[in-house]
Parts: sequence; C-alpha cells; structure tokens
Amino acid sequence: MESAGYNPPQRMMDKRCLAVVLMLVGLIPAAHAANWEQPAGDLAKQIAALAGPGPAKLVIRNESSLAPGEIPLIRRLLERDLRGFGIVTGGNDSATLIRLTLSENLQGGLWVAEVIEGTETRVTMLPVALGAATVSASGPSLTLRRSLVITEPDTVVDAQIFSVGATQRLAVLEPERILIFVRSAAGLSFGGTAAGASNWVEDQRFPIAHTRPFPRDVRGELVAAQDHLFDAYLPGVLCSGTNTGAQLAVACGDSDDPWPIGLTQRAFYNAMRDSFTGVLAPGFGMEVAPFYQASDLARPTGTGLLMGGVDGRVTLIGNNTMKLVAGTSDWGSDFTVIRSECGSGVQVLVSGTGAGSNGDSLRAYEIVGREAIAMSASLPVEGAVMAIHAANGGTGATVIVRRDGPLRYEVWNVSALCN
Amino acid sequence: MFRRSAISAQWAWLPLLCLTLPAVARTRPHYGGTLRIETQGDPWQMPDGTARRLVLDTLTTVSDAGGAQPALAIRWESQSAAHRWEFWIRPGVYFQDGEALTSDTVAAALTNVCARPVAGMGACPWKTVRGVGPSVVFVSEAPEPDLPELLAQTEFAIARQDSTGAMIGTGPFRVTGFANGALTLTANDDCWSGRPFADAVELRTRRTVRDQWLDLSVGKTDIVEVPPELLRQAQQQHLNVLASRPVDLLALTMEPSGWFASREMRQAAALAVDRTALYNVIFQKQGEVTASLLPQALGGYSFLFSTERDLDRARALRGGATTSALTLGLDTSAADMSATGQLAAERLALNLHEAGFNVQVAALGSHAKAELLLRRVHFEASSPQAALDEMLARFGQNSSVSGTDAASLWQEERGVLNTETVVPLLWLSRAWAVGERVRDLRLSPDGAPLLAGASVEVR
Amino acid sequence: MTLRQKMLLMLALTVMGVVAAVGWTGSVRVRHVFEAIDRQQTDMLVGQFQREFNQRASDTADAVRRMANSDVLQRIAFDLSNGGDSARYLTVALPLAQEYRLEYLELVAHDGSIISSLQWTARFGYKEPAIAAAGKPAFLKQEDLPDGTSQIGLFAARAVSGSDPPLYVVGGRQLGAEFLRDFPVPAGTQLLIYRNVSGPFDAHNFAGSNEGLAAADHYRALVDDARSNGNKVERVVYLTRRDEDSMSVTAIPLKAASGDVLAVLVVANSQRSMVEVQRHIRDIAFGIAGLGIIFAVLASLWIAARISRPIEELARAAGQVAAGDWETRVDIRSLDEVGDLARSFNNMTRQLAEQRERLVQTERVAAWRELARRLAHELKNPLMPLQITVENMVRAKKLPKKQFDEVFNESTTTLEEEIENLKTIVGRFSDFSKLPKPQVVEMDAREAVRRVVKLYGPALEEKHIELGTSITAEPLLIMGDSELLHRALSNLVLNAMDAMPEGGTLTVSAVRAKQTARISVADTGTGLTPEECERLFTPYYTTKQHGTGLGLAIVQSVITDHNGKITVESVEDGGARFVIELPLAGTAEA
Repeated sequence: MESAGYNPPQRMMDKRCLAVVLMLVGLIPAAHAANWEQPAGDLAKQIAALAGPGPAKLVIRNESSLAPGEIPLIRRLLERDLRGFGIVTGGNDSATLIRLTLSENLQGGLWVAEVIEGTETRVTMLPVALGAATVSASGPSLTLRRSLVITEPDTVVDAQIFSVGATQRLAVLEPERILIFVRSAAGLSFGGTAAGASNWVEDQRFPIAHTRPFPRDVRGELVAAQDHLFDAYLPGVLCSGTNTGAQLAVACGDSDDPWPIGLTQRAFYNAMRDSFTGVLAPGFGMEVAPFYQASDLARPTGTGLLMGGVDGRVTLIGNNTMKLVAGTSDWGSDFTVIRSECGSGVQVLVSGTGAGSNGDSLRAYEIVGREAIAMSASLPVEGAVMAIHAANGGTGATVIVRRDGPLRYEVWNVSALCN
Repeated sequence: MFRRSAISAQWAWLPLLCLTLPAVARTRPHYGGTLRIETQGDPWQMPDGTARRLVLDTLTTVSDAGGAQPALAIRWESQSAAHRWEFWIRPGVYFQDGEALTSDTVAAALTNVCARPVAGMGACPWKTVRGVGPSVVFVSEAPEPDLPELLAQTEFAIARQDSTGAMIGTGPFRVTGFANGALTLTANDDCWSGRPFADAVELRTRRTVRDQWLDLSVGKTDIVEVPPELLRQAQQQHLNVLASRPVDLLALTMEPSGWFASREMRQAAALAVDRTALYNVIFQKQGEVTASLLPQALGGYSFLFSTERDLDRARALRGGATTSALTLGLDTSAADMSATGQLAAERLALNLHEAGFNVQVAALGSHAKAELLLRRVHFEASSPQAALDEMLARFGQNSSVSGTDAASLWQEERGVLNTETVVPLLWLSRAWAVGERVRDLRLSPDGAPLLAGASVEVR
Repeated sequence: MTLRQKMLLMLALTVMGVVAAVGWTGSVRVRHVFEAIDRQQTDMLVGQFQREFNQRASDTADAVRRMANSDVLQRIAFDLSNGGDSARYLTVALPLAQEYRLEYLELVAHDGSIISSLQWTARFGYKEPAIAAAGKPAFLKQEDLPDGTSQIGLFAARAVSGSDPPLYVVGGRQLGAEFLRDFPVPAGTQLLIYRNVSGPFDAHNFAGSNEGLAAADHYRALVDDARSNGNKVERVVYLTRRDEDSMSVTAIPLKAASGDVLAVLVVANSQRSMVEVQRHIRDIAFGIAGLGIIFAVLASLWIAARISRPIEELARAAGQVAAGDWETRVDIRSLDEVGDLARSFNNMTRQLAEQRERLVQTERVAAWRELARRLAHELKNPLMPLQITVENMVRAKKLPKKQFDEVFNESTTTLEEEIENLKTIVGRFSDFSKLPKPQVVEMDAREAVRRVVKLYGPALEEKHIELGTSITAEPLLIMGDSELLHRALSNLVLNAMDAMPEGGTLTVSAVRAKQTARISVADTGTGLTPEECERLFTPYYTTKQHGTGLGLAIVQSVITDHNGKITVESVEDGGARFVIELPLAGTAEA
C-alpha cells in the first residue's frame, strides 16, 4: 500500500521568490552563483530524444527571474551538451528550431524546449531550482547586513542556532512544532547560495501539543538555557530542548510561567492579546503598562530595560525611573538590542515602515540620553517583520519576515558592520 | 517567432502585487475595533462568499506555494491509489455554539454539501464520506490525488445548523446580526486558529463598485473591491490596493452542437478572438493574456498555447457558409463584471463578426440558449495539478489530471484545449482597496481578504 | 307596371338622383379640401422637420466644435501625442457626451482608429471613416449599434484644436424617436423615421410615436419605394378594411452627403376626419333620399288622385267598352285635359253605341235582303221549270191524250223532281236553322277524318280526283261531336270535289300542332280570291252556281261550337286549303 502524507514543500522553491522580487524591484543587485551543468545536460538529453542528431537553430528566451547575465552561460552549456548528442547549433537556416524558454512556476524554474521541425512541434520540459541572495545596506555610522538563513512555508516565530558539540543546529520555532536543522555540505541547491549563507537540512521535528488555541498573532521565543539546550516559550506553552547525544529531545507542556525579557527580568504574557501584561518578575517596583517587546539596554549609567508599549510609546526603565524615549515615532513593535564594535557598541535594531511601502525595514538606533538616534540607513526587507530576537550571543539578531506571493517566512540573520 | 505579447503580459501582475501591498505591519497588530467591508457578491456563495469564509473553516487550506495545509484536519493519508483518503480531525475544535467538532459532524457536513451543490461547483468527487473515530474517511471510485487541496475549497467548508437553524462553523467569526443591509460578524474568542484581531466585521453586500469606492473615500468602510479594469484607476487615485495573483479565468466556451458541432468552426471562432484588445484596453493592461487553463506563474508553460489572433485562418476554416444569428451570453460570474463583462462580450462578438460569424450579445441573464458563453471561472487550488483539475471540473470536462509534472499537465491541458470548446482569454486578479485603518490585511491564494488576520488601527 | 308605379318610381329616382348628385359633389369637394389640408400639413411638418434638422445639425456641429476646443480633449490629445496610452481613454466618451449633450461620440486617432466610443464601446481600435468629414458641415450618418440595429444620427467631425497628429471628435445626435418627440404633431398625424435602410424592410426599424409604430407594418411598400427610387412617395394606406382607418402617407427619403438614402421620413395623416365627414354627407344624402322617397309616395298618391285616377277610370271604362259594355261612362271631375279626355271618351262610347246599333240594323236588313235574295234565287230556279212544266201541261191538254199522257207523265215527273228540289232547298234552310248543339265526347279526330275519306273515296275516284292523306300516327284526342264533325268535313270534301270538276288532287291531313289538332282539306281547284276568302263563311254566300251558301257557314258553326277555328287560304299553285284547328282534350277552355 502506497502512502502519501502531508509533506512540507521544499525550501528551495521558495528561495527564487525572493529573487523574483529583488530582480523586479531592482533595489539591490542580486548575485547569483548557479551551477547549470546538471539541468543543461538533462535538457540536452531530452531535446536529443526529440530532435535527433543534425544541425539546429537554438533560440533562448528568458521568462523567469534568472538574471540576464546567466543566459549566455546556460546557452554555452546547452550547446555543448547538445553537441554531445550530435546536435550542432548555430545554423540560421537549419530545418530544426529549438526554442528554449526559461520559465518558472510556483515549484521553481521550468525550462521548456520546443523542437520545431516544419509544422510539427514537440515539447519537453525540465523543472529546475533557482538560487538565493544576500543583501546589505550602508548607513552613516554602521552598515546593517542581512543574510538569509532559511525560508519556511509555515509561520516561524523564532529561529536560533545552537552549538551542540562541534555541530551547529538550527532550531526553528513554529506554533505547531519545533524543527531542528543541521548544516548540509552538499546542499539541496545546485546553485548554492551567496557567501556566508548556509544550507540547512531538516533533521528532527517535534510537534508542540497545546490544550488552548494559540492567538492569531502567535509569538514565541527560543532562549538558551543553562542546564539544557534551550527553552521555547509560546503563549501558554513551554518546551524544553535537551541534547541527548546525536539527537535532540524536546518536551512541551502547558505553562503560564513568565518569559525572560532580559538578564534579570521576566514578564507574564497575555496569550489572548499577544502582548506582555506589564507584570514583571521580579519587577521594578513600579507599574508597567502592557508592552510588546522589552530588551536589556546596556548604558554607561547602567543597564536599563527598553520597552515598546502597546500604546506605541517606547520607555526606558533604569535606575528606578521610567523615561519616555524620544525619536521613536518610526519604530515598529519589534526591536532587540545588539552589540557591535561601532558607535557606543550597543544599538537597537528596530523594525519600521519601508520606504517604498512594499515592505518593512530595519534600522539601527542608539539611545543617547532619552533620544533615539538612527545609526544606519534603513535596510529594506521585502515583507513584514514579524519578530526580532537577539541572536549570536547578542551580536546579531534573528529577524523573521513574512513574505507574500507566495506566502512564506524568511529567517534573516542581521548584524551591524562599522563603516 | 516568439509570442511576445503573451510573454510580456504574464508577469505583469507581479510588480503590481508588490507595489500595491498596503503598508505592512511595523507594529504588532492591535485587538479590537470593527472591520468594515463591502462587496458585490453573495456573502455565502462562491466565488465571493466573504461571510462563508469568516464563519466556516475547511479541513485543509492551500498555501501560496501550493499544496494543502492542515486546518480542521491535522494530517491525512491516502490508500488504495488515492481511492481512499483518511483525514484526522483536529482535536479541541468547537463550533461557535460550543459543540465539539467530530469526525461525524464533518462527514455529515460534507454529505450535506454534496446533497446541495451550488452553481459552478463540480460534483463531489467522493462516493462516500464517514467518520471513523478521530478521522474522516473518503472513498471514491476514481483516484483523487488532489483531495486534500480540493477540500480546501470554500464549498467544502464544514458547517452545521445550530438550534435556531442558523449556519454556524468553527471559523474566527460568527454571525450576530443583520441590519440595514449589513451583516455583523463577531469575533469567535475560542477559535481554534486564534481569536481574530478585530472584534467584529461589518459586511455590507451587494454594493456596486461605485458605491463601495464612494464609501471608502468618505471613511464609511475599510475594504472595498477593485475590479481588474479599475486597478489602474485605483492606482491613479492613490488607493491602497491589494491584488491577488491571477485567480479568475475569462474564457469563451462553445457548445459543440449546432453551428459549433464541427471542430473547424470552433477553431475558427477561437482564432478570431483578439485577446490583446481585451487585455490592453478593456482590462486596462491588467491580468494576463492567456490561451491556457493555468496561469503562467502556476503552470510555467502557458506560453506554449498561442494567444495570437489569426483572422485569415479563421475565415478560411469557417468557409463561406452563412451563419444564422448566434448568441453570445455571459454567465453569472462574468455578468458580475457588469459593464466590463458586457463590453468584453461585445468585443468578442465584433471579433467573431470579422471572421464571418453573425454573433449578437445576449442581454444579461438570458444566455440559456447561447451558443457561445463568456465565462469567468474562479479557482482556489494553488498547485498546478489541483488547479488544472479544478478548472477542468468547472468547465465541465470529464477528464482528470493523472500526471503531476509540468509536461504531463501540459499534455493533459493540450488535449482538452484541442477540442476547442474552451478558449481561455485572460487571467484576472482579484483586488481590494484598503482604508488607512486596516493593518496586516492579506489575501488568500484565491484572492479573498483574510479578515481574521487583519487588525484595525487604534489612533 | 301601372302609371302610378311609374310615377312613384320616377319621382323617387329623381329625388335620389338629385340627392346623390349633391352628396357626391359635396363628398368630392370635402375630399379635395382635406387633401389640400393634408398637403399643407405634410408640407408644414416637412418644413418644420427641415428647420429642426438644420437647427440640430447646427447644434451638433457647435457642440462638437466646443468639445474639440475643450481643455479636456486638448490634454488628451497632448498626452496621446506624447506616447500616452489610448486605452486609458476607453470610456472618456461617456462623460464628455454627457457634458456636451451628445448621443453619439467617438474619439478617433489620426489613423482613423477609434479610441473611445460612446455608442459602441467595444469598437475601439476599429476604423471610423467619418473623420474624412472633419471640419465640414454636419451630415447624416447611419450608426451601427451593438445590439445589431442601426440608428440614424446627425453627426459632425472635427479635429481637436492644436492636436498634432490630429485627434478627431465625431459626435452626433440621434435622429430617432427622441428627435421626433419634440415636434408639435397635430392629432391624427404621425411622424416616423425608418432607419437601417440597407436590409429588408423591418417594422422595428421605425422610430416615432407608439401609435405610428403600431401601423408601421403597413408602410412597407411606401418605404421600399422611397428608398429604392430616392424620391418622395405619396399614397393612401389602408390600415384595416375600414375607410376611416386609412392614412394619407408621404414618405420622404433622407440622404447622406453621398446621396445614399439613410432613412425615410414618413408623414402619415389620418383620413378618419375626411372619411367621417364624407360619411356624414352620405348619411345626410341617404336621409334626404329616404324622405324624398316618402315624399314621392305621398306625392304620387296625391298626383294619382289628381291625374292617374281619371286615367285609370278611363282605362277601366275602355276595358268595359272592349268587353262589350257600350254603355260605360266615366265621370268628368276636372276641366283640364283629363276632363276633356273623359268627355271625349263618353262621346266616343255614345257614338260607338249608336253606330253599332245602326250597323246591326243595317246588317240585319242586309241579311234579310240577302236571305230574301238567296231564297228568291234558290226558289226561282225550281219555280221556273215548274212554271214551264205547268205551261207545257196546259199546252199538252190540247194534245192527244197519248201525247198528253206522255207529256203529263213527263211533266208530272219533272214537277215531282222540282218540288223535291224545292223541298231540299227548304230542308237545307231548315237544317241550318235547326243545327243542333254538339254532344261532345272524347274522340279521336283522326277517326272523323278517316271516316270522311273512306266515305268519299269511291266518289272521288269517279270524278278522277286523286286523294292524298296525311294522318299522324299520334292520337288526336279532342272533345267533339263526331256526327257534326263528320258533316263539317263532308261539306269541305264536297266543296273540294265541286271545285275540281275536271279532277285534281284532294289532300286531307290530320296532325298535331301545339295544343291543337290541325285538320286540313286542300284541293287543286280554281282557288279563291282574297275577297272570297274573307266572305266565304258568311251564310248564304257561295261561289257556286248552285249552292245555298250555307255549307261553309254550317262548317264554321260546327267548328266554333267545338271551340275551334277554321281558316281558308288560297294555295299558290291553285286551289284552296281549309284548315281546322280543334283544341286537344284537356287543353280546351272550360
């Protein structure tokens, strides 16, 4: 008996979506480094099965997101492989016309070859995969650099890399499960990715059981634990990930425990409203309004807690005082504090509205006194920033971006480079 | 020779989509408030079905990337070469009256759907459906490899009647009132997929587009429809527009009888139509010129079907026969386009007249005896195979898709299109103009606004 | 027909004739007057149509000119000349047309392709040849519409001011029902426009009032003639069989600049009023004629009293006179010609009676004279021998006895013979006076003929008279007295034998002639003169030396008693033929 269960789509097909938009928007030059050897060879073989040896005219048109610069390479490879099957291309007066259309669909690239001999046209198709990209943006003091870690078709609320011995594992927190990825040297993509990006292969997945429904704007957080690998907080649910040798184990259960929001503070989460209630443990001895986000902010005067309120105001609690931070009108609800070697060494990476209204943006700020001062240019992200979490021990951030058309969630690693 | 016009048009929707996305969330969505939406169509029937989508859930949903996603069913499995499917029902899901969702209620709901098929919906593909413990088992006579995606269609939403006879479901909203032409839907706090951000949705139906736009301009509503032909105008008016991928196929169908009993005659009519004029002028360069049953972005091969007009060949195929007066009608969905549908039909009649066919456009609602029918067919599937299956069903074709790869789909589609009974013309998107209060509104793969995920700006 | 009836008829006809003449004259006059009014009305409407047409043409041209100079179109032209997308302007014709109150509007690119069409939006991209008339006066044009129909409109075309390449505006207004609705059409008059002239006649192509459209089917021939020959056509069209449902229709072709007929203006005037007036006149004429007839009857009665009654009395009196009532007299009631006539009639009858009396007396005297003459003549013949014999006997007395005896015997014999002869003569006269009344029974006339022929056959042979008979085989049944008829026929045969002393041919025939038995006896004797024929049957008239003249009188008497008649005619070859006609049994007068 054969069986066909529900399987998540392959990640590779989603990478080209980013490329599509990048190419079309043209904000940042996309850098493809693809290996077209295999598909060119496969297609040549399919064409040879239709055309047979002899002279032929090859016409290629690109109707996909491939960069125009890649077409000559594909042509060379294809012509070479066709010659191997006895098909010599280049003759303008050949009786056989091979028309290759580099197309694509939701599954990825689709190369369509039409072999036209007289009035007869035969068609063969070959599905191919497309590549990904790395983007950066410079600013006055520092440059934000983002690189794609992984793309998921389902909602991602956090993703963190944990070192388990000599290997790194990428834990991706989704509302319904935790996915564990390991690096793959071979990679799934024939084209590979830009420098710095890695390929991750799913290794394990752990469903998250919960008795109460999650809120629609579900949030969550992966936090490194001291006595085990990580804790995963979700509304009303707490999971613990432990290292059991080569494999990880994850245990989940209902929990109303407060979520850690800094080194010392924890906050109770309102599972019905996707925000923190304002009740802190141990707290500052003052009443705190409900807030979305909070992060420790190291300052010369001591560490404060930077909080983004549900009312849109940003406050800084430190030294038993609560101060309203100016210059945050453009801030979104998500931010985290990162460390760098630039400026004061501590910046707040904040989500904001994108310039072209076609997506959000990221920007680094420093809090000077009570004022937030932009330290970088806006780094556009072609989608909605759904969450920002500290990563890499505080030197970077994990940014979750929701992309449409088709819907997918991208996990970006964002770090700051000094100018 | 390249078919430039078709190719150049096929990606036209993508930049539009990107450019017209409303300002996405830079702050977390707020709870509360009332979302106000106005539509032309029937709130309970597809392809609009706005209320149906809010109140009811389906066993599965389709993702933008294609393929079925868990919804009321958390997993599924097929046996016997896709003749038997088993869907496990999500536990802990309750109807809006508090009754638990069980496999039996799901089976009963689906049986009811099949017993009362709605216009434009294909027949239920399964022979029996029954609840077996925590799962629902479908048995069909033919293999149904696309059943998970098929069950994501809104027609197959799970509904039952409460004690008052009202339709209830497990969706994020429940109907709480109807007054002054507006349906009020209130948030379902215990929705399995999470409470919606808005406390309520006020749905005003059967509003003309003109009235909708007027209401939007004066702040009386938040979300209104933007027909494809008005997308350009909406941009010029700086409306915040959200457009879907192509989800509606405008197609000409011919009844293979009478004058069109001969394939040559149908082919002549197909060659006479001028898609470019429809695309460039009537639909204001919106949509995608096509001769394929799948959009290029979905199938990837639609350019293989020629969209070129060949009037000389059409005339030659038609021969010198004098045709009696033929009627070109508009089906209900095409009629929903009102003036544009009529205009498109008149243009097609002109095209056909040039090829020697004596065609008159029937008045709206009187296409019963039309030899030619302009149809607007909506599809919900997001994988090529399921989408082609759905399209074939909606066009009344008996064949079903067996292969899954692009070449097989193309072969299948070519076989159907070669009968010349269906002449695809244009792929159209669904679009909405969104007011400034609305945050995080997204569209489902078939272009419906996902109101449960949208929030209302608190100022 | 009596005089009274003739007079009644004549009077009635005279009255009716006069009334009919007056009615017809009035009707014709009325028709002429109405026709003149129709013509005036039609001319007035056509003139008004022409003025309105010109006004509308001017308005249309002005609206198109103003539109072509408008900022909106100049902006569009500028945009298009700079590579703007014409598709954006697909529906721009609608608001422009509303603003400038045009019912047809097309924006046309310099190459003639339509950018925006109000009337047929789907026709964008197709060519509009009307731009060739840009800048020219307004013109008529047939506009095809999406529903397959055509409308006629007044159009004007202009290039948008300053457009380079030119952008054309072709605008127009409908020349249909709306246009006609503005006309103050008198009651009973219909104004219609027939459009879409290219195809076969279709009443749906008419525009105009509902009343007019209902009758549109009847204008087919008129419209067909007008559009085929391009000239005005006038005709009376009957909508039903009733005269009052007739229309006096004028069809006027409306032509494009090229001369092609694009539409036909139909002006139809109801003839109901005229027919009703005519009918009214006719009804009055009928009434007058009816009264006239009554008057004629009354008049005839009066006239009869005055004129015809005396004449009728005269006629009746004349009839009575004819019937033998010679004493008939009429009353003299007036002193006019009729009175004179009556007086003359009375005089005439009196004189006739007197003359008849005199005639009777004269005839009686004559008859007696004749009788005396005949009697004297008949008696004188035997008396002379008697006298001679007696004288001989007297003289013989002187003779010897033997001689005397011989003379006596001889004389006695002669005396006896002559006395017998006298007795015979006297007997004949006696017979004539004693001729009995016939005792009629049904008998066959042929038998009477055969009996006579048989009786006299031998005598005829002796006298060398050849007998010819021709007796029909068909029975000739008559009501008669066989003995009397035998005597009559015998007399005729004897007469014939007497007429042929030298012999000859006697022909006797008996045949059926119509309702009579026709018996003829013809001889080949000396014949008769016309005078003899006339008097032959008079008693005591004879042509013979020795006859009493009673034979034929007896024949005539017998025949008359049998309700028959006898005639005699002289045969050309000589001889006479007596013809007796006796009524056949069952046909005789009662």
